[in-house]
Amino acid sequence: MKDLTDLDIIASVKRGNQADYAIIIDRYKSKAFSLIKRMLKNEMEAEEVLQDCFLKAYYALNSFKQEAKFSTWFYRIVYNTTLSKISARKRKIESEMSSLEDHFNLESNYDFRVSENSDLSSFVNVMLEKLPSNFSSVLNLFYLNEMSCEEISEVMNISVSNVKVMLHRSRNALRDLIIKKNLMRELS
Amino acid sequence: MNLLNDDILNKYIDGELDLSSLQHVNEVLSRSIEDKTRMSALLAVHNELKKIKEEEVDPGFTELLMKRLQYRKKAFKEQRNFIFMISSIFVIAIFVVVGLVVYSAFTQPSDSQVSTNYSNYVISFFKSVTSAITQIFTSRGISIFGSILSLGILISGYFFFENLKASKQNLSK
Repeated sequence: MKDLTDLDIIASVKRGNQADYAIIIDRYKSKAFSLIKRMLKNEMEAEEVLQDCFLKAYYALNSFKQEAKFSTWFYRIVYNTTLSKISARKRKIESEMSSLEDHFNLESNYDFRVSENSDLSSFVNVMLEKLPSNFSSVLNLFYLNEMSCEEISEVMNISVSNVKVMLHRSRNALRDLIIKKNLMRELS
Repeated sequence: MNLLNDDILNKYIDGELDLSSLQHVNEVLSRSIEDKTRMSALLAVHNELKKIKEEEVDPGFTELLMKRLQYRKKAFKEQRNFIFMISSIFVIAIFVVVGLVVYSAFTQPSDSQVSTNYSNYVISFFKSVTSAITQIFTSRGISIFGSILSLGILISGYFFFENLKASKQNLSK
């Protein structure tokens, strides 16, 4: 079963083998959950949204035309559903350009008393949670889901150059903090 | 002073620099401690980000979701059957009314029965139908028919919404 491609499984589900959808769920649940949790910053809500995403994807399987990879199509559902959830919580969602112009202040979000006893790895993980949702989405999709900038641009419906700008800005922000807070001892 | 900007450093990490730019960056890094520090920190961030772990979902997540899917499918089937049943009842009721009208038209004494002319017979038949309809749909007939129809809609609506409510409750469980 593990050797089956996403398209094989989807074809089987479309033929009426509903149980095969469990393979798709097992394959994507952890990575999708990571993305949603980092965007919503709330575990309980993230699991609810994850369920919605899989249900939405199941009922929309007939509209999946195989023009893109299944993973790209699915993560687009995940990203948009999570954005809708954020919107429902009346959070301010920045538009593509304004989000690029916005300045997020990671420094003010981090308790540096913690950093004295923590390593670089936990520092990066903590800061990842503090990033604005669209920046953490880019990092998550790029590093955890191993997607290319082109695929991320499809998922997030923004240009490739903006994906790169967001990726670079996130990395630079983390790097500047590492240098400023003298976490560089980890590197030596 | 920084000789290499952030964009170049990021492109260096992503392997997006051409050979000549790469040589230039390597050369700068070998002589500028400041740039080397920035590059090392950026590389450290890049390596740490590569190590980020997946968040674990509840172990019963897949099973629960599959149950929800199966339940939704079943609920959808039940609702479809319910709507089909109610529609059938209304269709049968309409057929009964039409049947009654046609029956009355046939059993009513008419001039057409003695007529040998076919067109006269048809005209006379429709006259009888109209007369039967007006007999059935008198103000009293309409109020009885309307009451039965309203009652039917109310009862079926009640059961339909109860069914929907039960489905939603079960899904939320």
